[in-house]
Amino acid sequence: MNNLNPDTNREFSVVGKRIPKLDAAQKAMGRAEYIQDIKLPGMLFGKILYSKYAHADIVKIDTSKARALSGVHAVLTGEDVPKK
Amino acid sequence: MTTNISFLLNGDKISYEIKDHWTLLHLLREEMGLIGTKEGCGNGECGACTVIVDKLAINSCLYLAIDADGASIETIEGLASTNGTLHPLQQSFVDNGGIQCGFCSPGMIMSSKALLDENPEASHDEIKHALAGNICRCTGYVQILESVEVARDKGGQNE
Amino acid sequence: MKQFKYLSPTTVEEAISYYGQHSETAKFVAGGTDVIVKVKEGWMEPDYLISLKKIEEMTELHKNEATGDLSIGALVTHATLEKSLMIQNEYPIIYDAVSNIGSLQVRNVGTIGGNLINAVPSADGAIPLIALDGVALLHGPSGERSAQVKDLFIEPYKTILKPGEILKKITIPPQSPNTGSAYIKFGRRAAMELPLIGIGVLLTLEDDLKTCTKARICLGVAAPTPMRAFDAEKLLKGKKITEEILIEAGKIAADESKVRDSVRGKAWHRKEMIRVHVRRMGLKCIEIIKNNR
Repeated sequence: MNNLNPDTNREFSVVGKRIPKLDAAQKAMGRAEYIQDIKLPGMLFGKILYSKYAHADIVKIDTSKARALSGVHAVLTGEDVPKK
Repeated sequence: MTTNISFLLNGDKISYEIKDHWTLLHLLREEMGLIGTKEGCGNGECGACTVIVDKLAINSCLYLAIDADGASIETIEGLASTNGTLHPLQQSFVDNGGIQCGFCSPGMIMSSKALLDENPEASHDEIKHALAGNICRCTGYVQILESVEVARDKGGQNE
Repeated sequence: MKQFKYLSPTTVEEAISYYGQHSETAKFVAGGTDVIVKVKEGWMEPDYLISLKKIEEMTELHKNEATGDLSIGALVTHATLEKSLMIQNEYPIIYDAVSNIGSLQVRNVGTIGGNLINAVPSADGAIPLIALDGVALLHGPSGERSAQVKDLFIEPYKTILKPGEILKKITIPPQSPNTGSAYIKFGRRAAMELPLIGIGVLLTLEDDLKTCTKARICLGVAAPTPMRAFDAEKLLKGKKITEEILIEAGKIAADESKVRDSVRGKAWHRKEMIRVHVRRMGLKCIEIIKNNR
């Protein structure tokens, strides 16, 4: 029953109809791509290291040992964030 | 430390040279490119990696690929027919709101398939018991259970 | 994950011989639902994994109808036990315990033996085997020996198994008529968790269906290892079983326990639940005995 429409003879194509999620079938088949599924040539893997201490002041972050490990391409800290 | 194994994958005979320490999940996703099976936790607690081995639902993240030698494996990729028709379970999940973000869906569908293949008249409680190892963060489970029950009631037929 | 070489012996002797060749660098694996997690997380770093899956005699579940002995191979999965009509009907305490371990995916692969050897305080699989007076058969470089399941556990994660020893199977002696058994895995969630407390009760009654000839009250997560509440059992033996005496047994069992506070629950709550569920499981045993007559 359609209270919004004064003309009760109109048939809608979308309103009041059951519309499945656009990508439900893809997801049901396991074909939808999630971040975990994407593989790009030469892609790197990042991992976040969290501070053990809340509200701490950062005095210094020494990344030298981490950068020296084989396979590590970069270690990024707040210093690397563009200021502008 | 490599071993040659052969197994049935969704009905096809596959031979593969694997490393002994590979999990079945790793073999499927990373080596064979079958990304339908997901890694949620990596230690057998979420069920996102569920596949069927010799008719049993198992967590592929804790199952060594080498143990699949000689086995018959079913993954989500094997459910839809080659012309794209969805398996009745897949169709039911689509029709009944059983899928939101979809990350748990392959695991949920494979667990459901293993159950209904063995017990086509599974009760509501039996479905819950069988799916207890599949975690969903989105749906609240009600529509997932409904999707399985509707598929069960249709007797595995699409309408 | 650490790279290891996978060995797949087909006999117990072969498995032990592999261990002999590689000793500390090798680890046995059954279903893998505990071992693979440990290898992934770095708790174990084996160079060799000796899989026991292909040792046929360890995968057998067999009731000897002539003698009444039940033989459960260590590699029998929890799901196999859960689905067995014989287990459901004749050993309900085993069914109660294994049907709620982990999830179906875990039970399809995880084994009764592996669960015992993992020796967590909560071992749902251990409690029924203790209540049924199960005997473990061990096989190692020095030969075979057996031990009561109740004596397998030294402390959390540690059993009496010596290096190179394998748990081959568990034998359950014949059960007397008029025996009922039940187990409850008590927790906050309906699935996928370790129990707050596990309570298993077994009662055997005389033909009058009132007088108790044998009582077993076994508790999990009530001490560092699975335990029997011996004083509570003594209270019941020889007495007519009533609700009152079961309540009393529950109180004694709770006092005998060594429950502690943990992140998942408080000691006082666990004691309460022992009281409640010794009574409830005791009543369930009586009902099973009466229904079987």
